[in-house]
Amino acid sequence: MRSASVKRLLLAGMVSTLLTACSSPSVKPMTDPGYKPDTDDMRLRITADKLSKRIENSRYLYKNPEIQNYLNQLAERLVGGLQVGDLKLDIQIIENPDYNAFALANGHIYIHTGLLSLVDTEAELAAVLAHEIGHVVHRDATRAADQRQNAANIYAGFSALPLINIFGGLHMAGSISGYSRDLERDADHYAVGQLDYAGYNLAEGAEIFAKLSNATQGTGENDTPYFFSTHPRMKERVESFRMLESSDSKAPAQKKDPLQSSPATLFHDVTKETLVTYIELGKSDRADSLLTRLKNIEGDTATLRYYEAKIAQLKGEDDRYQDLLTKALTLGDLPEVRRELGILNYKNKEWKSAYEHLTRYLEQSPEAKDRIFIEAYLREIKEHKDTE
Amino acid sequence: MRAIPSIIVLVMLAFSSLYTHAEEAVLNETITHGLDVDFKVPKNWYLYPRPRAIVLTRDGELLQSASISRFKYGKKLPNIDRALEKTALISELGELYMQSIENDPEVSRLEREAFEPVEHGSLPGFTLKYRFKVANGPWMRGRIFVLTGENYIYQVFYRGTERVYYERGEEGFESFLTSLDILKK
Repeated sequence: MRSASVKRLLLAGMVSTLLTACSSPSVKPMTDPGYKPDTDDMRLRITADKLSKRIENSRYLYKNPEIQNYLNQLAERLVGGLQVGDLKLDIQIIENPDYNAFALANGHIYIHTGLLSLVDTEAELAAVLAHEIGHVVHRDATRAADQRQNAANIYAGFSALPLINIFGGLHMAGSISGYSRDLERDADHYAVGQLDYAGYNLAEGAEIFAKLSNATQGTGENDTPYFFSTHPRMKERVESFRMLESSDSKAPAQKKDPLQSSPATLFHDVTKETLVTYIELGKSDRADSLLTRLKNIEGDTATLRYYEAKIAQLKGEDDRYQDLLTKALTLGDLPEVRRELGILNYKNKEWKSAYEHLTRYLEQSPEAKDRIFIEAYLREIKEHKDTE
Repeated sequence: MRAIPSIIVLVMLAFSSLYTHAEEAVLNETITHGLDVDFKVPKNWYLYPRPRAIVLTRDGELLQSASISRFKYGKKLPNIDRALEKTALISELGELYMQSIENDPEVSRLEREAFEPVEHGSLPGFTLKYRFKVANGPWMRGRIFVLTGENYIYQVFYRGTERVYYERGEEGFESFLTSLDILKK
């Protein structure tokens, strides 16, 4: 154990030396006794506050007090309080199916619903959160701007480039390239320290990066979401964590009880909503993987069978689509299943069953947005039925 | 702070007027383009033929515009990885259009107002009415007409700022739509 600790210290020393060589010596971490925010910090915080406000006023902010409290409690446990230097951390959720988390210079950290839907253990969530807190503590937005020595590049280092896409129209992609790999590794190093401090199993925490790495396999630098264009790729995160972990071969198992024994259960609704978004977007592979996760939690239900049918439809598996819809109906009489079956029967000119399903659908959903269309289909079906 | 919306409108106006003179405007003519459509440009409206669409506006494209374009079945809509299949019902196509708009990163808020079947000439289709907020921009109103032919899908968009310009162009848009004749289905 002792030699492992020595190895770890040595490694930490090496990493620190490398980081010091790469980053500006003038930008001290917030935890440094002599720390004071400078002009760059203040400018970055003003911009960050504007971005935060935009997020808060947009449809992208996912409002769930229970999850938000949990995330903030987790951050509190990782750091020993939400206050970091002169900033207060605030963890919020963004409704977006991409796998992402990012920190702003004002201490606000945002986690996407897409990423939450992949989380199994609290240690995994802690790893992501601690990494992002690392960016805040190390003042990485300021360090990145400082490294570039370019005032116009004031946004450099925001892992918030995503917002440019989300909120559109700023067209600053050319001037924002995200954090350098050194800063990301520095954040990893910080995360490892805080996971240990908060009593989380490092290997368990690092699993999230392995999952993200697998989930994005086959996507190139240019077509990946900004998480990967502003962070070194997930593979590097995995390697970085493994390297830090191997420096302490006798890493303790989880030392403290988690705040939530099963975050996946808490994120159940988030996962379900993300699954629906993947289906709407036509991302059948991602939808498939979430479906499996949901089945593990809630078993075989009519709703999940319906989602499975929709995924089969996306893949062009028409027979399976119909079969799964029929199975869903045996598990529960859902309006969406009735509508799908009715439309399918209508297309196949199976008038009697089409009439039955669509009539039932309208009974179940009197306010259906497509009511006027369904009524038109029913009129046509009735004509066919009458002439048969 | 109160002056900001006015400044934005002034900038948009200046920009749109520059744009009007930057291209050759055709006023009030009946024309047939590569899209195989025939229509009358409404009075006081301007026409901008584009490579894949025809755009019309009365007060400037950023304030209000109508456009018509067409494509073959199998095309994927922007923002979603879903194709417009020929086998899809009109209502299914409408849902895909709505999902495409909902996932548009430029749209920060969206409200669906109406979703109805339409028929234009002999072509069946649907119309969607909605209001939306442009990210960092004003509230807009929009209408889509999608008409399904044998080989092509024709889409007609009309949109304008909720304040003033949508309503101001509505009559012109209606007359454009009434005059629209789709020649190749």
